[in-house]
Amino acid sequence: MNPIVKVNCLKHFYPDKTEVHLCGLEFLVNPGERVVILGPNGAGKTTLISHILGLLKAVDGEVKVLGMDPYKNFEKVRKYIGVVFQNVDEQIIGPTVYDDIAFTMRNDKVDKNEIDKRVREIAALLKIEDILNKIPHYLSGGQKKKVALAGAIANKPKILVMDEPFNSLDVSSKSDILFLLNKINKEFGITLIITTHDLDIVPEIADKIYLISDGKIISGEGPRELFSNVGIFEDVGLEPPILSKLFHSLREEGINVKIPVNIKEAKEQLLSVINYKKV
Amino acid sequence: MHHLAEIDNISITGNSVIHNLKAVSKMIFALFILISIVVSDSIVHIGGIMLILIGILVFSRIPLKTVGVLVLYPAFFSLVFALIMMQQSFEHGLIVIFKAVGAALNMILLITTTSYVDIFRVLSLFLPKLLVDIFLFTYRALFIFIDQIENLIKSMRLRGGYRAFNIFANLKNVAGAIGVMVIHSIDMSNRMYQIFSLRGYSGGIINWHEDKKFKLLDFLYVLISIIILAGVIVF
Amino acid sequence: MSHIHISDGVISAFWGLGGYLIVGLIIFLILRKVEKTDLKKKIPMTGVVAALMIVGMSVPLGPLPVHLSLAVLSAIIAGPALGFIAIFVVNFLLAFFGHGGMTIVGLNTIIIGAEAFVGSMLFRLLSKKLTPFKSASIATAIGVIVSMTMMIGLIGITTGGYEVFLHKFLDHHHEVEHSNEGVHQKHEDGHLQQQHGGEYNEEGHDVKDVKFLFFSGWTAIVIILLLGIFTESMGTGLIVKFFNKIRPDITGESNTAVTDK
Repeated sequence: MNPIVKVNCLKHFYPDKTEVHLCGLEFLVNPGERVVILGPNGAGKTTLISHILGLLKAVDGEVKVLGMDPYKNFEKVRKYIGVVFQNVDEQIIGPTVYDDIAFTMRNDKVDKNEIDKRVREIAALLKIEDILNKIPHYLSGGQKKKVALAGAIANKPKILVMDEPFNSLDVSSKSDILFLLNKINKEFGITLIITTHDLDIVPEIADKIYLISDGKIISGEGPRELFSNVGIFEDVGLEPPILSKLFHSLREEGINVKIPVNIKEAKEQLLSVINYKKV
Repeated sequence: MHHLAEIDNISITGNSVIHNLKAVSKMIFALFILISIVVSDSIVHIGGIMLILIGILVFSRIPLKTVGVLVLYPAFFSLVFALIMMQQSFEHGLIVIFKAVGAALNMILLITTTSYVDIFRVLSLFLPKLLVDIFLFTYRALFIFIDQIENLIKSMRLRGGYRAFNIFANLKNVAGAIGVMVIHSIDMSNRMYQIFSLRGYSGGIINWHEDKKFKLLDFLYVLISIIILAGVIVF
Repeated sequence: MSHIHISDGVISAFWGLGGYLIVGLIIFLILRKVEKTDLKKKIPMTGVVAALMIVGMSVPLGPLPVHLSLAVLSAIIAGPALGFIAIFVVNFLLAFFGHGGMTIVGLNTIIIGAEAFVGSMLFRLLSKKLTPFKSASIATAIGVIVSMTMMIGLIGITTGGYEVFLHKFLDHHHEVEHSNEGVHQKHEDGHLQQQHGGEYNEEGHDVKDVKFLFFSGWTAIVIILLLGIFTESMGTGLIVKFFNKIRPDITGESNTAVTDK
């Protein structure tokens, strides 16, 4: 299968002279995959996705999206990508929610009736039909995130890129967004590329995880493989997931358990240990 | 600056007859009333228009306290000029004040019953699309900055960087706060442009579209303003 | 600072319309250039700069009866052309709140736009030799003086204010028709004339008798104007100095040899 996104050893200089190198493993994303990019603050996550989006030109290295250089073919590539940035206040420009969701389609000269149909479909999917006529400024953080997401997927992109989508959301909104992301990935086959440092939700949304630290792309494994290696998180300055830490410490006590990636697995592991003891 | 947010809220959440009129009707009304005030030289005429405007504001359930605070500003600055003119004639000076307050009431009626977004939509009919875009970006950025500057000033005060009579220190620290905002704002505008490019932006965010049909009340509202203008000119 | 805080009806609508026409032409020409070039990416920045100006005006400076306008700063950041548009947007939006009449928006834009243009051009010249703080302060001070001169001149011409001052300060005795019909304006050969109702005091007055609220005399006027120039120039200088240390690319000063310490 040809990867839909490929990044290899990237180099970039910012106006304030900050240099970013991202080498190590090749960053590969396959169609329909859910990829999470993890790393501490300043690791280069935003730089990486800015290059994928064609917003930055790499000084050195290779960036390919759908086989094209996204910077040189910006207008072509952008039609296949939906994006939700960290601060959605800067992204929502439509005077009303309806206008914002329709924004990209209007710019792409999609037929008015088709626009209306799609806006209402997306709004129903994300359960925001009741706020279509509202002014975005007055919505809650979670609602704004949904509006931004609706705007990003309205034109049926192949890839959805999200930069820290779970920041400043309460637990309920977080799980809402998680559910919706998995739904659109499953139903529409949209490839997801998400940056976050919220490790506890990563297993719910990742097929593959890339860990970035100190300019190196360290890992490209699934959550199970990566979370079994607690030490790697500590090396890059990230707090490992609580479940990983707990079960790793149990293993250090000589208890034979596998490292779970979610509560269900953790429960099964614990029950098997307790049953073992009973016997 | 909190007036901006307050007025935005009043214009959106209000549900009076005037709130529910089309933005076009309200802007035409405001235009004819403004012309009436500007061309008139009669205290009686201008006073009458002011009473009508206050009546409409009350009818629309707009808090008069908010209106009063906003009207103080033009009243004060017109007073300066009126005092000069009063040295020729008391009536002349009074007309200056009446015109200022009347024109302000007229604008306040418009912005408290019509959301900025609807006003921009009407403007998009005859202004260049890039200019209307700038209006919209300004509007969005304002609400972001209002929060930011309030927090910055609060933080300055808490850290002793802002004291009532320490002019030089205040200026220096306020300059620092604005400097921070300049940097944030430039980065923000770059990010905004990036995201809008990704969404295919090429100018022209707001589209004029019919969301409310013209009702009899819209025509009546405009007719009232035409009658007032005619009355001012004829009498 | 030189924003005319005069409301509608004081300056003749014809002057106001003239202001709008001139501003309309300038904006049309600027936007045509923007459409053709890569300047479109600065459209969000223009809006952001306009918002910054409005917010900057609302920042209290303690007991000073003036506020920052940041017009020169906006032209330094966004360029004089888009800075001019930002100034128009600001004046237009402020007029909705009664900060200056709606009919005066065009005139205000021309005056403050001139300040921004002169200030930003001077800043570019001076920054090659002086530190960012000095070049921004001096450029802003000169820009403000230019706009203040224009403002005073415009008010004088459009309202016949010069007549009032002439009557008062130069002891000229003019025959004025007495009328009890109130104030009305008459245009003769394109010049605005005012005929004032009531008795005209022919004794003549001195400068010191002119009252502006609790100030009196030219001293008071000059003090206020100087305060405005000082605040705006110092404020702009300090802001430019501040962000120039962190982001010299904003003013394009990254290669200047002269830096503030």
